[in-house]
Amino acid sequence: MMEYFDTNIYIYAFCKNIDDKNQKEISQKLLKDRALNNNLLVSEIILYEFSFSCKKLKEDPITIQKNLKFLSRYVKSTDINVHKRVLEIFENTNLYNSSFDVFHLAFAEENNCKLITFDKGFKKLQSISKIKIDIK
Amino acid sequence: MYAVEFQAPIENGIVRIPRQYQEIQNTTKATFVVMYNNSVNNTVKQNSIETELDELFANSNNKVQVTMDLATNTDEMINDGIL
Repeated sequence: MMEYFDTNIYIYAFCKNIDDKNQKEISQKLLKDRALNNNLLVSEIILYEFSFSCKKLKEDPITIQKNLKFLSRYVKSTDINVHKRVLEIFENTNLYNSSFDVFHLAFAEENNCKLITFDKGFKKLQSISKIKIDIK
Repeated sequence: MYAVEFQAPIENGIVRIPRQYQEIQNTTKATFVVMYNNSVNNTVKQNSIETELDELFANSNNKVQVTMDLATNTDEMINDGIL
C-alpha cells in the first residue's frame, strides 16, 4: 500500500538539529523504506509546507532545494476529486481553520494511501477518515 | 515460424546459440524475444537512492532546532497577521 507522509515526517527526517532523536530515526527509516520500494506519494502542498518550515528553521537554501528536488520525484498532481472531498469535509465538520490537514486527508483518501503523521491534531479527522491515519 | 527456448548469458551484447540447436546456427534471420531478470538493476537503483538520502540527511545544518510545534505548525502560511 502507498503511504502519504505529513510534512512533519519530512522535517524530522531531513533536518539535523532536532529535539527528539527517536522521532528522527522513525522518520528516516520510514522515508528510506518507502522511497526504496517506490511506495511513497507526495503532494505539492507537502512540498510548500516543507519549504516554508525549513526556511523558518533557518536551513540552508541550497539544502532545501536539493531536498525538494528529491521529494519532487514522488509528487502526484492533485485530482479535482480531492478538492470536492475537501469541500465536503468543510461542510460536514466546520474545520475551515485546518484546511491543509483536511487537504492531506482528502489527498490520501483519493490515492488510497495510509496517512502517517506526528501531528496529534489529526485525531479530530480520524472519525471522518476513509483511510487509516497513523499518528506516531 | 518455429520457436525454441533456451537460457544464455548476454555478454557485450552477444548471445551464443546453444549447440543443441544446430539447425538454427546459421539461420540468417530470426525474431528474438528477450526475457530477463531486472533484480540487479533494481538493487543498484535502491542503493543509489539510499546513498542520495544519506547525503541529503548529512547536508542539513538548520540553525533553529526542530520541535514538534515548529514541525507541525504551518499557521503562518495562511495567517500573515493582517487579519
